[in-house]
Amino acid sequence: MSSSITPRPIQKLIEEFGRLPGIGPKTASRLTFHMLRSPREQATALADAILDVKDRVTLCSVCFNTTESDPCAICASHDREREQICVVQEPLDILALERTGEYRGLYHVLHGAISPLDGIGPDKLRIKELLVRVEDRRGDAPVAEVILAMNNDIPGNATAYSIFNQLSKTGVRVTRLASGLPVGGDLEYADEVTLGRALSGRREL
Amino acid sequence: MTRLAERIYRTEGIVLRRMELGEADRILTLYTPQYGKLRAMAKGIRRPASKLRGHLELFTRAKLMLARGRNLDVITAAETTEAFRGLRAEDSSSLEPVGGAYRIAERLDRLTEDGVENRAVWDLLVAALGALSDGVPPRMVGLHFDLRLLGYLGYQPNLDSCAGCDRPLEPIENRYSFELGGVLCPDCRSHDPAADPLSVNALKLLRLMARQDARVVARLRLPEGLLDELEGLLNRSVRLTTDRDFAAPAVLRSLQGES
Repeated sequence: MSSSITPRPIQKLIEEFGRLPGIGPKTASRLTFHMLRSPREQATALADAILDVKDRVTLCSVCFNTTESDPCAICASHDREREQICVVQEPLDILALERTGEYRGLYHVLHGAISPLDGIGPDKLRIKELLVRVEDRRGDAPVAEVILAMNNDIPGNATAYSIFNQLSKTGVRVTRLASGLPVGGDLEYADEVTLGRALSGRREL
Repeated sequence: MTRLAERIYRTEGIVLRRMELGEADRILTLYTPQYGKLRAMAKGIRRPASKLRGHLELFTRAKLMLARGRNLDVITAAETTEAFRGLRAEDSSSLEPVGGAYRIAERLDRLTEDGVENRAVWDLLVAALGALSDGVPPRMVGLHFDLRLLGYLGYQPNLDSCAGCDRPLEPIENRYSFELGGVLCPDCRSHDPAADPLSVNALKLLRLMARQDARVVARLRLPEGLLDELEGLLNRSVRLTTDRDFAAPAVLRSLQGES
C-alpha cells in the first residue's frame, strides 16, 4: 500500500494490528478497513476492552493467575481444597482444567516452560514462588500434593522434572498428569511413545 | 496443473526447533538428509487428536510426507522412526540428555543454511542424539559434535602440521588459531597473537575426536580441566563462525546447578 495515498490514521492502525501475533500485513489491512466501516460504538468497545485488560488485570500474588482482585477468586475461595496445588504453564490452562469439573484444589501458574533456545530457564519461571508456597507450614492446611500439569512435550516434561527435583527435598507428594490415548484418538496413528505409555499405564476396568 | 508427484515429496527428518503459529499450527525447523535444514508447517498439530503430534516432538526422527506450499511446505504425514526415548526427562530421570540435545540443536540451527544438503551432518546428528539417548555424557557428545560439525561445514582445522610453516607439529604446547584454520607451532605464534594455548593432551584429544565417534571418546577417563580447555577453544570457534551468542548453554548451566 503506497504511503502517499493512504491516510496516516489508517496506516497507523494497520501497523498496530500487524504487530499482533499471527497477523500479517494482509489481515492487518482487512481488520483496519473493517474497523473503518463499523459503527463508532464497536470501535470504542474494542479500545476500552484493550485498555481494561492493561489497567485492571494483574497477577494474583499467590498463584500468579490473571485476576482483577488480589488474591484471585480461586485463592480467596473457601470451597477449594487448599492441600492440593495444580501447577500449569499458562493462565489459559486453568480454564481448560476448570472445564473438566474434576479439580477442586488451588493452582500455580508458571508463565512458560523451560526452553533453552529462547533463553528461558527455571529462574525465569515462577518456580521459586511455588517452593515458598509448598514450604509454608503456617496455615491450617499445609500443601499435601503438587500436581504437575505441564504440557506433555519436551519443554513441559523438562519443566516438570526440574520442579520435581526441587520439590523432592520437601517430602510433599508430587504427581504428574497421566499420559495416553486422547479421546477420539485413533490407535493406528498413535506414536510409539504415547502408545507405550498408554500400555504401561493401563487400568483395570 | 502440476502432477501430484511434483507437489508431494518424502524425506526423513529430525525436529530441531518449533514455533507456535495461529490457533493450532506450528512451524518446525527440521534437519533432513536430502534437503539439509528445512522449515515446514505442521497444521493443527497442537490439537490433542492431531495425527502428527506425537511423531513430530522435538528431537524425534520421523518419516515425513510434505506438500509444496506457496511459502512453507506443509507436513501431511509423519511416522516416528526413532523416538530417542532416553532424551526424555521422564524416561531417563535426568535433564542432562535433553539439555545436550537442545545445545546440539541450537548449534546446528545457527550454523547451517536452509536447503543445503549435507549427508555427513545428518549422520552426525543421528549419532549424537543416539549417544545422548543411550546415556553417553552430554559434555563429550557436545564437544565431539562441535568439532565434527565445524569440519563438515568446511572449517576442519589442520591438526597435523603448523598452519604457519607447515612443519609437523611437535608434542609441546602449541597455539590453536581458528582464524588460520589450525594449530601454530611456537615459532609461528606471531601469525595470530589472539590464538589460544593448546596443550599436548588437548591436541591429542582433538585428533582422536576427528577420527573416532563420540561413544569411543567417551570411554576415556579425561580430566575436567582438559575438557574445559577444549570447550573454551570450540566455543570460541563456533562463535567466530556465527558472530552470535548462544542461548542454550546459560540455561543448561542453571539446570545443572539444581540436580
